[in-house]
Amino acid sequence: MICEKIFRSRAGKTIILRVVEGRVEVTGDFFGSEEDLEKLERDLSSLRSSSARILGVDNDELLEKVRECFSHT
Amino acid sequence: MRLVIEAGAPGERQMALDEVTLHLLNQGIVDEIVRFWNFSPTTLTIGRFLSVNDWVNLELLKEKGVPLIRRFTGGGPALHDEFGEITWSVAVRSQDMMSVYRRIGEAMVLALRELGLEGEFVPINDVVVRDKKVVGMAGAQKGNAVLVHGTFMYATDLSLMSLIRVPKPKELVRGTPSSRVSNLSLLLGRKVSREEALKALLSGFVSVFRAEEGELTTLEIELSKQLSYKYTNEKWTFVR
Repeated sequence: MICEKIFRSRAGKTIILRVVEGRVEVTGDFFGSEEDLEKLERDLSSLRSSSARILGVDNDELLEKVRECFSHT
Repeated sequence: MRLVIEAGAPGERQMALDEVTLHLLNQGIVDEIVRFWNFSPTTLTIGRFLSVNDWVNLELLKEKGVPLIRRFTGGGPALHDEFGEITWSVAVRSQDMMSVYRRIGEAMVLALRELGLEGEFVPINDVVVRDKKVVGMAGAQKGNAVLVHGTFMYATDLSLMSLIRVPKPKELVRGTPSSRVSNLSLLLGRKVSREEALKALLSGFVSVFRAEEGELTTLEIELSKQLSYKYTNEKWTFVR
């Protein structure tokens, strides 16, 4: 694992973000569909802004966290 | 909208039934529903997107012999005491989960008022009394249908909250589950019975959702029997 970030999102949910071999995994107590979560993880892995709709998650906040992970490696 | 009151059943049946109802409602095959039920035996559930290892005290779970079920809905872990909670489900035609949470919050505030408590809906998905959580809810959307299910803790054994592990950032903001969560009996300083809690819930939900006595369809019952295997399968439970 390259990086792990555990935090409360701006939208008030607990997010656990892990970067493993260049792939981003997002888990937490948010609400959405499996399809949207997969899209979010793919976009974050490519350091792209995501249009995935997940209640309790701020996509741009996650992207910032992923960038922090990659900038420290 | 149908109103269905059921007795307790294992978590795999309850989750499968809610998932089937959501799919069938989205297809226009069944009507909207409010259902009151409970887990039997006492069960720990976790949200669709949680990692088991991050949120569950697995050793204690094994020691206590409490089943673990991964829900198809998002949200956090929830302890469902067979003898201290009424569990409920609401499935409606909607594409806006937040508005469904708000309507249920309204029903819950009315139910709590019936018992003499002032409740408050706290977005995204909690209802609190004097800053203590007594209701949690979790939803999922499929197309044009939203299903939200949740707890109404009238006498939940709070010592079992130690089955839940909480990541530090959440604990710093919200406290431990045993300090943050309460039940209606504790808040009122007297024993609240299941019958009394159910009567209050009925009053709140019927006013907000205009539900009338109804039944599950044969299709819901049959399909949920077929789907229940998913919820006892470790590949699903430990998918994250």
